[in-house]
Formats: sequence, structure tokens, C-alpha cells
Amino acid sequence: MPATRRQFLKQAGGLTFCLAFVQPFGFSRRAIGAVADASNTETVTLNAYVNIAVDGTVTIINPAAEMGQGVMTALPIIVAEELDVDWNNVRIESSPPFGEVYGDPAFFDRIFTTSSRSIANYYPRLRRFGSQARQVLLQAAAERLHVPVTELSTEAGAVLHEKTGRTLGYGEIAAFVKNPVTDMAPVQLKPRNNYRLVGRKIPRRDLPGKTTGATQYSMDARPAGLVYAAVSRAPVEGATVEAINERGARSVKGVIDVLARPESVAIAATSYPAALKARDRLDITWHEVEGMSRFDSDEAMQRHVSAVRDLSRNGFPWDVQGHISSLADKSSRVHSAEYRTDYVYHAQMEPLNAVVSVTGGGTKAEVWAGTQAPANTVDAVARTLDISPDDVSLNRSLLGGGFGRRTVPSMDFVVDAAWLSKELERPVKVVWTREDDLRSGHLKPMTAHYLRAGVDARGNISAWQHRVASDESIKLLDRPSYEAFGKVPVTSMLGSSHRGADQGAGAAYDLPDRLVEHIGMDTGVRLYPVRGVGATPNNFAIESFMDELAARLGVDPVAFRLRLLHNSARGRRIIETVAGMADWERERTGRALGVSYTHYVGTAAAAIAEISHDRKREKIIIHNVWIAADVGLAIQPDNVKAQLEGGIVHGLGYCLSERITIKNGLIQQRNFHDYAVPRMADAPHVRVELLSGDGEPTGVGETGSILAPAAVANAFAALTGKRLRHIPFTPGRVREALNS
Amino acid sequence: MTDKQTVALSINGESFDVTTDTRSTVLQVLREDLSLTGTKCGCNNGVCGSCTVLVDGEPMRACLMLAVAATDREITTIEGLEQDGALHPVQQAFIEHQGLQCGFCTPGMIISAKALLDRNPNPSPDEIRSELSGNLCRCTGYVKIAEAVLSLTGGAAG
Repeated sequence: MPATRRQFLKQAGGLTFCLAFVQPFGFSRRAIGAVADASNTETVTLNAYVNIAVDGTVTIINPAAEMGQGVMTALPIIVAEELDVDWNNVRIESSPPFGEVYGDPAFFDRIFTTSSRSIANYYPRLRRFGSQARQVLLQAAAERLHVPVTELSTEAGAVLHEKTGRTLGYGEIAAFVKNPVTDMAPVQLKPRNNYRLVGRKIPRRDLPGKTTGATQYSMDARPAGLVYAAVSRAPVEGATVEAINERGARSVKGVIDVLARPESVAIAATSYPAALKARDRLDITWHEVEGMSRFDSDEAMQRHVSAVRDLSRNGFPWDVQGHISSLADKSSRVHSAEYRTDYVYHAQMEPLNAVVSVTGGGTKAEVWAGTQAPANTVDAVARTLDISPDDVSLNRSLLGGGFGRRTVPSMDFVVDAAWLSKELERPVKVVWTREDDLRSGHLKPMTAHYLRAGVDARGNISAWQHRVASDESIKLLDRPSYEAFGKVPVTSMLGSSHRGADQGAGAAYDLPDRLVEHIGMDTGVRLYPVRGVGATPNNFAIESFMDELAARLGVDPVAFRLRLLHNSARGRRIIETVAGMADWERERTGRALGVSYTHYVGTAAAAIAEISHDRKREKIIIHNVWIAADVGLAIQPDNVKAQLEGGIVHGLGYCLSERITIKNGLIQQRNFHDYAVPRMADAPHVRVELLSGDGEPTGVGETGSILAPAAVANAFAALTGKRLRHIPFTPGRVREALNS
Repeated sequence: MTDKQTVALSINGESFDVTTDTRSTVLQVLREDLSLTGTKCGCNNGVCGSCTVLVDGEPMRACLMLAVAATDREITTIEGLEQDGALHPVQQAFIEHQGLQCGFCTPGMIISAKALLDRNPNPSPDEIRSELSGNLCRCTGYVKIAEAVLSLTGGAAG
């Protein structure tokens, strides 16, 4: 049984301890002496994250969405480490969709699995909950053994009394622990050198089921009585149905009904193929939306470029220090450059889908959905059905990729199944085709950049200006988040600042006189954060420009960055490491290297790409990529490397092939044949070195996707002497650069 | 003329008589008629490889193949790789080398890798990359997939 908000009782976090014998949410309700659960053992709930069964099985709750990044294993490892439990006895369950104890403090205590943040943001809390649970077990054992708690220790799921050689397994303690502990000692966190799980090779729990086909995504859910729907949604944001000619559709065998709402038209059928076939015969006319129905992405880019060039137009000051008046001084050496990035789309492998079963005459709903923001999902279904969120239960499916798409508050891929199920009084599965997924794509904004830098007599950067023109990706479609973050261009400007302590703990370039500003463009296009958010374009611009400045000054790009990082030992170590990995000094024949550096969500990282250019095939070939990253503490080092590898290749897609164009308001790309994500033959060999320091864990989910474009552009410039300024580097753009 | 037909299919060594739409694809029959949901649909266009199954040992796009065309041929899906409850070596290698993340492309990827290794037990790293290029993966960057497959070749150098 899935969890609902009503069943969820708020639990105390922090140093207050709550011992509950009935787990406060329904999906795994168990109680001492109550009806046995599936594992046929009695279980005690020690806190919101830890349950222990009398057979010693420990159930750890994972709050974050598992979309391939491995959090469902990594987060419980943090709890298990402090709890001192045998990992083989650990089961993992999803948390309920709500509750500040499960929410991410950086996202206003909502579960919001985005922005590379899960490990970093949950780490302190999960340590505390693991440690608290251990303290309770110790306290109970001390009373039972009649010894002071100070004489006890724990190891691999048991409390030991060394003096007498007695041990009590956690399961044994679970059978008698009953008194809530009210006077908890301050939590004693384990010193890092005693870690037995963190930092070790521990297999991800989600992998075996995914290799056998046993794992059920929401697309695979089949509740009894299920019917299918194919839905046509408004082609541009805000469009509504003007007219439907449904005659041809209704004649298709298996069609149950044709149903419509202002923003969607649905065919319900007994099989999905029948629904699709009927939808092909639907003729829908949509009302035009002023401005949007003629929107053209090429024209929009021109508007972005004009705005970013227009220095009389002040932007939102995102990162300001000192003064940049010297840039207007004709006597100083000032260099400037422009860069552009196109729209891209999430392209998660599982086309969006959901199953909803509405019962009780429209008063209750059960949802199967892969969501990065469970509360958004429940709220959207509740809004659609005009019922309380308390009456919506959610099965949190594993996600076949997310990359930001499955966070959007409208939950456009879920709500149609809800109203359809209410109308039809049966469970409904809505599956988007890949074409639907593209047509309703929520894009990473296009951007235009203008950069200026003054260089003094010693070759240092004396002033820095970076203007970014873009539409803020959450302004239109995630108003609550936009307002909560203070209506600033928060996603647009990530990765653009040079504050030493800004997410990168002393890893920024030293640019004391600077102005980094955002010129807001209101396009009306459906946008949403996509992996790398603004940091991908910003890093492409900054790191390309750094290489251009280095070239002007006749300084090696690696040496130039080391100089800019003279205040940051951490940053220099990263650059030196990656240069060593790539054998930076070695001359290549027909190939060249390019470097890029970032500090983002606490991680400092650099990449070097080795490329060549096949002129005949008009193809940039990426042979090797080396990455060095300081991630503070790697919970699962193998998985951190996997995130960086995958991120790099994702970023290679951004810079080589991925591009959305819009004509008459409509996304032009239809499927993977014209929205080309990297294929295996195009993927480089990637080597990753992790430099773990003393810091707490930092984020890596997006790092690779941020580093790739500039590394490739810089390598291309090193190879050909020509600069690529507009991602993706399509054959046409490459040709143009070579002929310039 | 009726819109339904009965097709005799052999799937993972079992025989099925499936009454389905005349235009049903192998993918539709697997997922919708037989609830074999391990085979995924990523594009329904033959471009992404998520739905790859073996038909008489050859990798085929289940989304492009009509069910009727598979009559009397042996279909192997991801659910058919385990033998006596033990994972197939390719499945094992993908787990050991972490050749997957979200897992949505994985069934098709594993089927394609098995087909490659059955045909050529010793593919070079470049052959692996080229032969598996019909299968899109958005998460892994392919690095660990290539490592997993390479680990199964005679020439694996670790």
C-alpha cells in the first residue's frame, strides 16, 4: 500500500528523538505483536529512517528519487555507516512523498531530487539519524546488561560488552527496546577513519533487477482493469482546443471514448496501439497564442544576441565586486567575445508516462509515476481532481532517467491519467510516444553571452564582465520555486560567479574586479532545468574565453588557469592532476587537447578532451577525456566516477549534436533520428581521478555535462586555430569556423 | 475481415498462442498481451534499441517487427536469459562493472551485447563500440558498458 499524506505524521528531527512502535505511514506499517509483515518478523521503528526487525533485518528509508544516479543505495549507506550495521542485513524502502524530515532543506523541505544535491544535502541529517538509532540500541542494551553505556561498543549490527564478552544483536534488542529515549546525549558521529561502508565498493541495490527486466517502471504498471490513453497536448504553452474532428478516431476498433480538456485531447482505448491509431485520425485545431504561435528560435537567438550586446541595457547584477570601469578605458587592453547555446531537451530514455486509478466516485486516487518531486505529483493530481492531497497515494516508481524533466509542477505527464480515470472510472495509463515527449519538451534555455576582460601589463585580468542573456528556466513553469528563490535568475546564472566561497569552497578564479549580469528574456517557450542548467552555457562561455585570453597573452591554458587559481590550492591541485593524467605537455599529431574547469555545487573539477577532426566526414572525434574532481567525500567512489563519465558524454551531446529548433511555436525535432544523443561509437574513453579531501560530500550529477563543451571547443581551437562559439558544433558551424 | 488474429510464438522456450491485433508488433505482444515488460519502448521507431530482442539468435527491434513475422521463430527476451535461476554472464558483467544507471536501456543493451558475443566471442574494444551503437544510453556515457562487455571477451586485459 502506498503512502498518503494523511497517514504521514510529522516526525521530530534534530536532537529530539521519537520512538514509535507503529511506523507512521501506511506502506510498511508494522508493529510489535501486530500482524506480521511480508518478511514475517516483528519490526520496531527507531526513527524516520531506521526500522529494525527482530531477525536483525534493518530497513533504511531512502527519501530521494532513484533515476539512475544511485541515491537509493548511497543515502542508506550513510545511515548504515553511523548505525554500524551489517550491510547485508539492510533493506531499502522509499520514503513517503512528504514531510520535512524527508524533504531537502535546500528545497524548502520538499523532496526534490535535482541539482546534484541529494548526497550533499542529506549527508548531515542521515548521519544524525543513523547515529541516533545506534544510541537508542546502546541505551537499551546497557539497561538489559546492567552495565554503563560507556562500556559498550557496536560492530556490524551488534552491541558488544568487551569486559564480559557478551553481545546483543540489533535484532535481539529490537525485541525488547520499548522506552522512548528522551534525554539523548549529543549525537556522537563516527570519525571518518572508522568508516567501513562509506568509500568502499558496495554494489548498487537497484542494478540486478534492472538487468533481468524485473524492475517495474511506472510504464510497466498494470493494475486490474487498466485502459490506455494517447493524449495530444497543447502544442505551445497556454494554447487551448478550438475544434476537434473525432469521427475518424471513433471508428477505430478498441476506442472507448474521445475526451477533451482545454489543454489536452485524449483517446481512451482497450489497447495502447488502438489509442495511438485513433489519435492519428484525430483532427484538432488549437487556438493561437499571441506571440507564441509564430515563435521562431532563430529570430529569438537574434533578440538574445542584440540584448546581450546592448551595453546600455543593464542586467541583473548576479556577481559584482570592485569596479570594471577600466573596461571603458581605451588605453587598457580589452578583449571581448561572444558565445551562444541553443535549446536542448532532456531526452531521458523512458518516455514520460503515468498510471492513475481514481476510485470512490472521484474522491480518491492512486498514482504510479516516476517523479523527481513527489509532492508536486500528488498536488497536481489533487488539483486536477479537486480533491485533497491527503486522498492521493503515490507509488514512487524508479525513473528511466530524469535530468530535471520529472520535477515540473504541472506534472503534465501525470495529470491526464487522473482526469481520464475519473471520467472512465477505471485505471488509466497514459504513455507518451517519443514524439509526444519531444513535442511537450521543456527546454534548457537558449543563451547568448558577451564577455569583456581587461588585461594589465603583467598579463593579469584587471577587470571582467560577463553578460548572459536568457530566459530564466523556472520563471514561467515553476512559479513557486522562482518566488521562493527571490525571483532572481537562479538557474540561469549557476556556474557564472567567481566568489571564492560560492558553492566551490575556495575554488574560484581570482577576478577581483568583475560584473556578472543577467539580461532576462521573456520568451514564453516551455523551459525547465535540464542537467547542467545554466552552468553548461556559462562554463562554455567562461572557459572558452579564458583560452582566448590565454592565447592573446601567449600563455599556456593550463598555466593561465593555475595563475588564476593562485588563491586556491584545491583548484590548482585539480588542474595539475588532470594535466598530468592527460600528459598535457606531450605534442600530438593530428590531435589536440583542450581543458575546462568548474566549481559547482561544492565540487571542483577539470576535464581535458583529446580530439581530432575528420574533414571528410565533417566530424569532430572525441578520443579521450580525462577528469579530475575533488568531491569532498565520495560515498560510493565507483558511482561518483560513473556520474562523471555519464555527465561528460551527456555534455558531449550538448556540444556536438543536441539541438532543438522551434518554428511557428512548434518544436521541430520528432525522435532520436533528428534529436541525436551520443551513441557508443562516438563516446570517448573516459578516465576519472577523484581527489577526496577532508570536506563533506559534494555534488557530481551535473559536473561532467558542464565541463564537456568548453574542453572540446578549446581542443578544436588548439587543433585548427579556429574558435567554435555556438553549441552544438554542427557540421555547418564547424565549416563556417574553419572558413573564417 | 477481423482485426484480430492468433499467432503462434515461441518465447524464451515457451509456446504461446496469442490473439492480438493483426498489426501488432512483437513489442506490443510482449508488453501488452504477455506482460513481459522487461523489453522497453524508448522510441517506437527503431532508433534507440531499447526494445531489442533476439529472433532466432539475431538482434531485432521488437517495435519494428510484426508479431506475425515472428511465427515459428524463437524469440529471446531479457526475461529468458537467466538459466536455472542464475544470471547470464552478460547480466552478471553489467552488474559487476556497473554498466547501467537508470536501467531503461539495459535489457536491450544486454540482448545486443549477448548477440555480439555469440557471433564474435572476441570483439575488440572498437568493435564493441561500433556494434553496440544501435543502443542508446543516456546515463552511463557507455564507458562501463564497454568495460562490461570487454570483460567477457577472451582478450580481456582487465
